[in-house]
Amino acid sequence: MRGEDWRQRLRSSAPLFALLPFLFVVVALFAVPTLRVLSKGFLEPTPGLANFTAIFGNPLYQQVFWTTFRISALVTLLAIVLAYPVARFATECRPLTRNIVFAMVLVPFWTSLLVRIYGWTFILQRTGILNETLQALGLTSAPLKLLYTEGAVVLGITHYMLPFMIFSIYVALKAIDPNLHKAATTMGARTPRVFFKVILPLALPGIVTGSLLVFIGSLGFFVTPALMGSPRQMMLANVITFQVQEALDWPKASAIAMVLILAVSILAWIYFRLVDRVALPGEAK
Amino acid sequence: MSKRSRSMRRIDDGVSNMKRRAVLKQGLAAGAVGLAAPYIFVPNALAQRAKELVVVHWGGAGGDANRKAYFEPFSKETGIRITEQTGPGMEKVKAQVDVGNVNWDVLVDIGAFRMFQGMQQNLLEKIDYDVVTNTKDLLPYAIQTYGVGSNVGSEVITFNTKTLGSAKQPKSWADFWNVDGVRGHRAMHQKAFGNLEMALIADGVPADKLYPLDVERAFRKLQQLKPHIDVWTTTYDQPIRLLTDGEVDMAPTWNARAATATEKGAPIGIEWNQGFLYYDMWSVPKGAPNAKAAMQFINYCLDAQRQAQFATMYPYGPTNKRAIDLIPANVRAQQPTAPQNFEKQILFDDQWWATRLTGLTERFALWTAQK
Repeated sequence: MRGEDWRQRLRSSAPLFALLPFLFVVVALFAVPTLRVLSKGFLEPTPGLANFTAIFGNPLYQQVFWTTFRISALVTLLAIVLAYPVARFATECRPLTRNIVFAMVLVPFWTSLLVRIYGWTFILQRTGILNETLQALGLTSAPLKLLYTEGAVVLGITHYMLPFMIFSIYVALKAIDPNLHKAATTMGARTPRVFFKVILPLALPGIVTGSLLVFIGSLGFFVTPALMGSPRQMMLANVITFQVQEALDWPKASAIAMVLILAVSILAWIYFRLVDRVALPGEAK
Repeated sequence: MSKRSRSMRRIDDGVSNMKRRAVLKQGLAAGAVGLAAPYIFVPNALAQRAKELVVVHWGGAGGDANRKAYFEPFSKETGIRITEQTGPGMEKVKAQVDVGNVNWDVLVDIGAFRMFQGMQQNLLEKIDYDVVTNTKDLLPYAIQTYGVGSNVGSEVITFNTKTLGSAKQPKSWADFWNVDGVRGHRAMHQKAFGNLEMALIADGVPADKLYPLDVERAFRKLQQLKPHIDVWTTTYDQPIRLLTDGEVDMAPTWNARAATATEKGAPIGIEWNQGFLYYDMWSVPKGAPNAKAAMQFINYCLDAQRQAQFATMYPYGPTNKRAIDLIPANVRAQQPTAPQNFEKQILFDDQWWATRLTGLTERFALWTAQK
């Protein structure tokens, strides 16, 4: 009897045991090294907050923090606007068409980031396709400065992050009972009203998830601002790389990374609180 | 009955809503991990500490030339096996030295200023000149306490020969700054090292009075050019690509990259006048498992024949003076150490930079990021 009880317990906790190797890998190969690196920000060259005061006292870093968050916010907004129609179309079209849409979303996503940046370069540069077309059509007399601008950086990052938004919104839209749409229409609601009163509230969790994924993902971009922006679009990852590779000043790099991680953690925490607090659509209150 | 079933359904709803929440949370977590994966740095701790010599070079055409001129013949003659790795960044040396797990033996072609930086951070072994004895014919600057010169490159003015007619090509840094006289789009690399020198030479400072650099004067001169820089480049292949595409008409570049592109038909011209000569170095990381063999390898590479073979394949200048005469004349003309080119150029003072690199690079970044 007791033996059986013991066996029962063991069986129910078996999944936990199965997780142990993974836990070990995460702790030993990720958590410990990460904490080790981050602790440098507080401990070197002398223990204290000197690295943090140096960062916050330097106008460059203030500007970089602001640029990073502004670009990430713009990317998130642009991604919502671009992703919603695609996600909506994918929920409403036939399965075959949907697969084609998803392939069109995913194939670029699996393409190397560098290749895509060069692609954008050929389109946007002074002698690029877009400028030459505009001039050939007589719409502009001289080439426009499209590349090496903040707009180019936002565009480049959005292109990369878009699938995260599309799939987040798609999952939310797919879960909506199509009858709700019909019901609202039958009750006399026009399209905008159906959208704002029925579809949007139900799609909101997907939009929020997608926004957080896109926003947090954008905060860490490095190659895109370096190749599609000018020094004015320098982002946090660029200054971290600079401190690690060029300056060999790892304590300062750790301090910058720490601030970034803290900002991301706060955002994630707010998100989890929101998910807990907000009643999901259709949920009994 | 109906009341009970309703409350049951409530509970079911509650469970399913909990699941929906869990899915939302896990979806975010999974997405975040997927996003973060490429950024997680896994140190190369598992690389084996075998008996062979681990040499680390920059890859590409330069890496191929290194293999043929140095690695393969050295292995053949000594029986010491050579394992190649690429990307000898000083930050990776620091990572290995910091955790006490050094698995590199020779750093190939690291910039001299990086060598001085590594020296200051105590990341390099002293060169053992009891083993490295082949130094009689070396250029004097090649013999350093923590490194031996492997070759000489030059940061030169390059331009697109198609978009700029021969009358309009920049012939000096003063021309590069003269935006009204020498018209065209300009790119510059986002770095302090070298750019400050260019500014001072453009401002009329004589080459022999360049060091110690007048940093304030250099930034004032750079400020004049700033509005006319169309692209601030960040990778080493960017200037060549921009010039080849005709996106910019002139840019300072490293001569070997320009020469390699020209061989492939890119319309790029090199102006040797006022080019800045820099040395690349062989160095040994502190605590290298096979430091002794590393010194032996460096000594082997100083041979005039080997260096001539390397320089014939890749247009950097040899550090062994006797090697220069062994290179075919047409190839030699493309090299910074060819006498007719050498005398037009200016030597970087890496030692001046070693203590100032970090501070000035940060200041330069701040300056470029401002409006």
